[in-house]
Amino acid sequence: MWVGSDIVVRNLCPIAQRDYSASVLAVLQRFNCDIGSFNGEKVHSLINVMTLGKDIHDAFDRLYFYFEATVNFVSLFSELRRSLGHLSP
Amino acid sequence: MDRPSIALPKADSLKIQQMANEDPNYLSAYNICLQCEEQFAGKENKLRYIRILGYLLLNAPNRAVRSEVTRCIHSRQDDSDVVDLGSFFERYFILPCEFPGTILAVCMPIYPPSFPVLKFKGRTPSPSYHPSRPSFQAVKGQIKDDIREAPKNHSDAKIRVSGLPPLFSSSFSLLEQALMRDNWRCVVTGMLEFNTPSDIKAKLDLKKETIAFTECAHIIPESTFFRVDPKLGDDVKVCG
Repeated sequence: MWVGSDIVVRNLCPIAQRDYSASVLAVLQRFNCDIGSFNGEKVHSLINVMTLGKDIHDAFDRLYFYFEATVNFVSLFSELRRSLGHLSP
Repeated sequence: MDRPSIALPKADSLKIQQMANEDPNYLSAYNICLQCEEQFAGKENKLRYIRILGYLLLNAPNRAVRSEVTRCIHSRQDDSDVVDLGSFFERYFILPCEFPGTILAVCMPIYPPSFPVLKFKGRTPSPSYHPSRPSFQAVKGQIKDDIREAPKNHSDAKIRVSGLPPLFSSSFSLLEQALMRDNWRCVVTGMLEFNTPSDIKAKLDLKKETIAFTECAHIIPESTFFRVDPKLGDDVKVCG
């Protein structure tokens, strides 16, 4: 089962994890994302989840594609990935 | 290890012209990235960080993101700050959304310096660079005070959530609620969930359906809110 970037969760002590998470959320807040809507248990709310097939979920976690608002289909992430040298080894 | 990346589009390309029409500041920030790209030619790892910024500007989903990246670039002291800024966004924006644990072994060799696990293992993360540091630290400090632990979410766990009428939310797990909202389908491919209730299946022409096993995918990674409570201590067993 997938748990986001649980690699970080497994390896940071809570003080370091709290600091790391706060940085991540601060960036999101600067990007105008209302992070208060996702704090704590609210991260498990309908607004933050979607139903994905297992393979599509895996591709999403690897940033192979992303969603755009008002567009009814996915945009491929491959351009950005290629650009940044994120190709799968 | 050098990780090659693809050069940023030149300033006269169509996409950049469109961005410049939105706000000339965007173009000037992008031009700084182009100048740095030239300056650090041959230094692949530095180029990569510069290009992260350039592509963040180009591919920003909205003006809020583009303006923030622009502001960060403009507040640089010198060009090595631009490299650090790219590294900052990789560490705190790209990486948290990437790399499920299953591919950790594959990622390790390609992510030596910036990989949080390696960098931060068992100790406080090294001070992070941000160009407008005091205000960023203020935002971050407030968030640190407010951040709350989230319950661990297994795909079949009955986690009660708000967002639906009481009748709904009291009797269904998040997974089930998401399935109901999404018509028991993967929102990308439209494939039908294997365990769709028979009364719903009865209304469908199953010969025309592709069946799949679906999962409940989080957009903001739930692990951002795992193990953030210092009271938990170091010896807490982490699920996963």
